[in-house]
Amino acid sequence: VPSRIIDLAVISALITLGCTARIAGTADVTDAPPAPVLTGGSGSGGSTSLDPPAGGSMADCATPRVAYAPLKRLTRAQYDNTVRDLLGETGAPSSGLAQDEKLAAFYTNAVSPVTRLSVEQYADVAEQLARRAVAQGLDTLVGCSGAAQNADCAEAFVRAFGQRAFRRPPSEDEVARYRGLFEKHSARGFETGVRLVLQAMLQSPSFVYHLELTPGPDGADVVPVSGYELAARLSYALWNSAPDPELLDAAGTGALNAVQGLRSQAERLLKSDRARDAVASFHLQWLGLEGKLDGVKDSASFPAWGPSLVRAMEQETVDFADFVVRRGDGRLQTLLSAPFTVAGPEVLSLYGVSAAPAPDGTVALDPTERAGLLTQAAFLSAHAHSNQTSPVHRGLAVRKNLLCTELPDPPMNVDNTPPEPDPTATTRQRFEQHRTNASCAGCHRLLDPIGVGFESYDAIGAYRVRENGLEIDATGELLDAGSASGTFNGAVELAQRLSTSSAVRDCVQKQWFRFSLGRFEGDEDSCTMQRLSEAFAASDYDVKALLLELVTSDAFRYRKVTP
Amino acid sequence: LRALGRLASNRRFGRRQLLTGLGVSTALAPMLPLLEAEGQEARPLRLILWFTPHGTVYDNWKPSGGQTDFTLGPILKPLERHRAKLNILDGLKIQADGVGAPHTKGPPLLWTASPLNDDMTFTRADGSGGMYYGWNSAPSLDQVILGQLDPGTPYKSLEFGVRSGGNHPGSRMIYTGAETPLAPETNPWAAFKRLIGDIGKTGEELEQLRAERRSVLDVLDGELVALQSKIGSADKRKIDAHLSAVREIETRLQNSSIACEGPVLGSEVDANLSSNTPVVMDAMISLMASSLACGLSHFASMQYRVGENDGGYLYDWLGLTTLEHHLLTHEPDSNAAARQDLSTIYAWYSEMFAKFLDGLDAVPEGNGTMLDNSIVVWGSELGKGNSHSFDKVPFVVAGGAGGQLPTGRYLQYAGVEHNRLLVSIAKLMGLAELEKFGATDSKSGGLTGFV
Repeated sequence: VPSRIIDLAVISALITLGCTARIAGTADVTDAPPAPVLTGGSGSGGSTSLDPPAGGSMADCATPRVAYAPLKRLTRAQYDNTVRDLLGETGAPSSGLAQDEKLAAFYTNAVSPVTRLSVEQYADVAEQLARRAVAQGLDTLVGCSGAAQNADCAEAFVRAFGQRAFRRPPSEDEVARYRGLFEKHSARGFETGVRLVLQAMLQSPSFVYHLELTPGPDGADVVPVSGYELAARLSYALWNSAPDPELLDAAGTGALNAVQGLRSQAERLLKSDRARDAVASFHLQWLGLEGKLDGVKDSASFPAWGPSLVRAMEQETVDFADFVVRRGDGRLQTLLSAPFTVAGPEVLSLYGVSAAPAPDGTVALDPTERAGLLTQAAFLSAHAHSNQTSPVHRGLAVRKNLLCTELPDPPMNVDNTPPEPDPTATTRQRFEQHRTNASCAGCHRLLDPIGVGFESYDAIGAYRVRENGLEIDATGELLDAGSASGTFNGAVELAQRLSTSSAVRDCVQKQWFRFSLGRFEGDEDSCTMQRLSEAFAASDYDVKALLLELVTSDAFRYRKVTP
Repeated sequence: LRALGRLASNRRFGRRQLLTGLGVSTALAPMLPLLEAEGQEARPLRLILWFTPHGTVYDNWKPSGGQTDFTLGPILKPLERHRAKLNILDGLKIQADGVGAPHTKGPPLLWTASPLNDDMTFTRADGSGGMYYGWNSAPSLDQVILGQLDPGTPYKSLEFGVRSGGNHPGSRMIYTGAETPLAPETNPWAAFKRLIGDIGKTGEELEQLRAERRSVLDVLDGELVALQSKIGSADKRKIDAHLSAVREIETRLQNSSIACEGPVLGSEVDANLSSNTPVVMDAMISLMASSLACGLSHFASMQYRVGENDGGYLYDWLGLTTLEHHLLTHEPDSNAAARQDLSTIYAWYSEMFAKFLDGLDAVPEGNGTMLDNSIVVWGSELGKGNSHSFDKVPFVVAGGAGGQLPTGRYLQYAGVEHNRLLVSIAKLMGLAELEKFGATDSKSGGLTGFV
């Protein structure tokens, strides 16, 4: 049973908001939800149990402390990236695997065990991959040809491919086991034997799980993550894929055991284009975009909507994030406020922009209309309804994903249908009830006043100055968000405010922690979190700097043996 | 269901003709009870759990009239042809204890009658609301029965789903135990290949394939056993579960060699695209009925969509193109147009359920059909969307449980907990001693007047 790692009682005691509610219609709600809980704010609201040890002394941080990391399986994206890097497989074989399990915003596969079906799916996909791989280039795969394709060559393949697939050299027992498998079937040809080795390795627990088993000194509960295990942590954090041979070599020489060695490999990985996969996965999940764009939009209102535009929207956000984080200034402020994009023509046309890209690929946008990720079509479409915008969902996405606020579920029997589109009113006017009705206002004061700031964008992210002939009012207010709190006019101003908000910085730091380590931050990670905050601040909030600090932190370099 | 019709018409010649290409006869032991089912005894009972989301529009669902002289309302009307084999259960409620929003905890509660774990693993899949909860705390009805009785079929149970959501508590209804959900097959074409697809290979090819798979499983078995002693105690259950899954597959490969004329599914379409739902649903229904007819399992479930708001889900094939279904359910009762649209959707649910029953009813068995030897339970995660009420949850049970269960009835209850129905089903399936089901159960015994 996963442990209760965030002490809700402690945190909720810090904040009390009037979040009482009444049923839409008549009777009183019998089970009023608990008060909203702010876990990501700064200032008075943001202080949580993750702060440094009592007294704030960093001396207690001299001895590494780290929370337990449960055993995880590869996510579908990690599976695809890994077989691409190992076999050159460019399809999406993981579409044949079970869906990923999500922890908070991110896929991690850390809780529920595999089932008969998922084991069979692993087997089916591995069988197909192995057949294709040997059919397409056996000689290249095994590194020998003709008469040299014998049991010795097969063993060399077991060692070489096994090292890539298991992210460590296979043990002698394992080599013997796989050589045995080869020999059992090589009577039907060298190719058959190799195919079965491949087929088995691609469903081996050493392949599908992120295994970290190297014991530490006797009795120690916090032990260093070993070189090869660290290489895998690093490459899955920064590439969302398996280590390459150079990283495995560095692990083998012990170079990763020193912070400097680890950091220089991390810098190399971040420079590689393969880091794009991790940056893409992070942003799609952090911004709540994955799976949210598959739905249908009302075709009468949005004839342009379709799979092609959806892909182009996703592409814009992913390309933009990668451009800023890895090739641009790397700063969170830029991600959330840049008046430029790297979108393709379909999205530019939605934005009403026809300018040609600059030599670096960027296209300038009207700085009064667009500012970074939150004013991009993907975010605006994902957090909207099929036939209208949603101030609630857009506000909620900002609160949850950017401010790390945990809100209670709406009361059981509240009518949470958005008001019908009304040709004589704006969306803002239709949602007035949330603010005027005291029973809704308790919670919705934290959402709608943010969400209405996005009213200048329709349900697929096109800019608009009027709705139903009425002028858009995009003034809003950010409440309980530390130094960023206050009124604003329009999403551009909101985005600029959020881009330098300490609450957002703290939240983004947590989100990257959760994504990179595949778990929540726990009490024992307080020293790591403190150091991350300092390093993030020292770099003027450069995400690259945050990542380098994260992958060299105690939470990354050590593991706890027992929960 | 053209293919099933074809399959069914063959049934005049007995099941044996259908199960062709069976390899050596000693490998057939687990299949024998089924093969001999032409006789009077040893006819297997099947249990099928069927889920559709968001309750119903009660007034349009409720039949009128008495226990046997009832008239189906507009929502259940498509089931008219199966009327004589139904039990329509009105007035059952789900005791929705525990953490989680109604749409989240509803599907896991439906067949487990037990709450989600009160831990901090998940927030809502649809991104709304933020309270945490874990996986469900107890096994579902079918798995509890399977824990007591081994039907000896190649698969203990088969889970099917159409747009059944991510790996998240709000989208999983079948559990083998606490925190161990069973994910459904969601792509009928991939599932077909896995379940029935080895047909067409010669005996030698098939033997070769199975020998290869057994060797690979052998390696995995060895690796997992080695891991068991190295892995920390907190994660050992994951390795244990992996090993028992490997062993289950190994056993199946050793014992059974099933080949069976499967359904003709039609061309594959993108199962993720909501507008393809009717095509995917048809294929899944055919596959599911065939799998049962072929004796792959006696336990199956269908999970159509999820309890949560699965966003942007329009029934465009029914002409409903503006408000997504979930939001439609939140419309107030006074919105007559919304109630009409919802009734259209729920009548479509009935049509899908009726098609599946067609499949079972087309397979002769003994003096009746496979449907007569089945219990097919159709339920939802709540009664009504806009109030999230767990009262008046629409339950329909089809099939006669091998002659144990009178059918053709409309049974009215006044707010009886659905635990009673689950107990009755467990008893019908052979768990005579079971009197309580689920952590929410505070009473005992089966559903009065049902069996």
